[in-house]
Amino acid sequence: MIMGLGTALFEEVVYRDGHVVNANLSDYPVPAFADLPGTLTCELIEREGAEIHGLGETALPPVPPAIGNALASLGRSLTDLPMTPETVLG
Amino acid sequence: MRLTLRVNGKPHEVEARTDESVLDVLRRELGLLSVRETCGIGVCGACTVLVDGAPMSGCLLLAPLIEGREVTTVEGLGGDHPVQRAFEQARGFQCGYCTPGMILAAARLSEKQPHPSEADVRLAMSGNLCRCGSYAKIIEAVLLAAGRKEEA
Repeated sequence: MIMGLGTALFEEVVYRDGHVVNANLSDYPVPAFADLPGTLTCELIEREGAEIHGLGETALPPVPPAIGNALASLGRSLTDLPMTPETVLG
Repeated sequence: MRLTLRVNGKPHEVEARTDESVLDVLRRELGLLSVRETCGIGVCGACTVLVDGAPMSGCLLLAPLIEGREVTTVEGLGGDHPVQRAFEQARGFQCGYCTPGMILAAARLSEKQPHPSEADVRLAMSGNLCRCGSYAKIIEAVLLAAGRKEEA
């Protein structure tokens, strides 16, 4: 889920003249301790008859749309990631 | 050049170039593969070693600077260190790549500040990144090691 926050909110590979210009962690931020929400709760929902599935990265894809839908409910609908303050307000 | 130092409690003499990082020397000369390179610029904390007890980025530290010093890697904690046991119990990792650096940072915190708050843990560990995002479990592990949380 924390990895999903990075994808949703600030991770972006930037290209200039065909080159990646933020190829290291000094320019490409991944979530750090400081990005962790104050509280974080997870609820596992079981579905009768569902197949066994891994839990690691399965939780990742829904995070950006969840945040995107929350923004959309406030009247701002974005279709590109990451959803930075600039794109939300811009 | 020849370097004389103590690593994980034992005296060692190693061969190193003056322009090499401590990270490369520890891995090549002593086979200490828990010291890992990720960013190579001191941002991620995966190469953390303790030099005379203080956490430092092995990728930025030049080999001659550890002459005569005491260097500790996670191998030197022995496997039964309270912080290591707490990481196991609280499952303070996902893939485990950042874990040696996390454990050394946490071990240092436990010495400097035996009873840290959650905010203390976040601050003390802020130089270490976890790509998996297992921060919540890592915090739990560090608090568990400090006796601040009941066993899970």
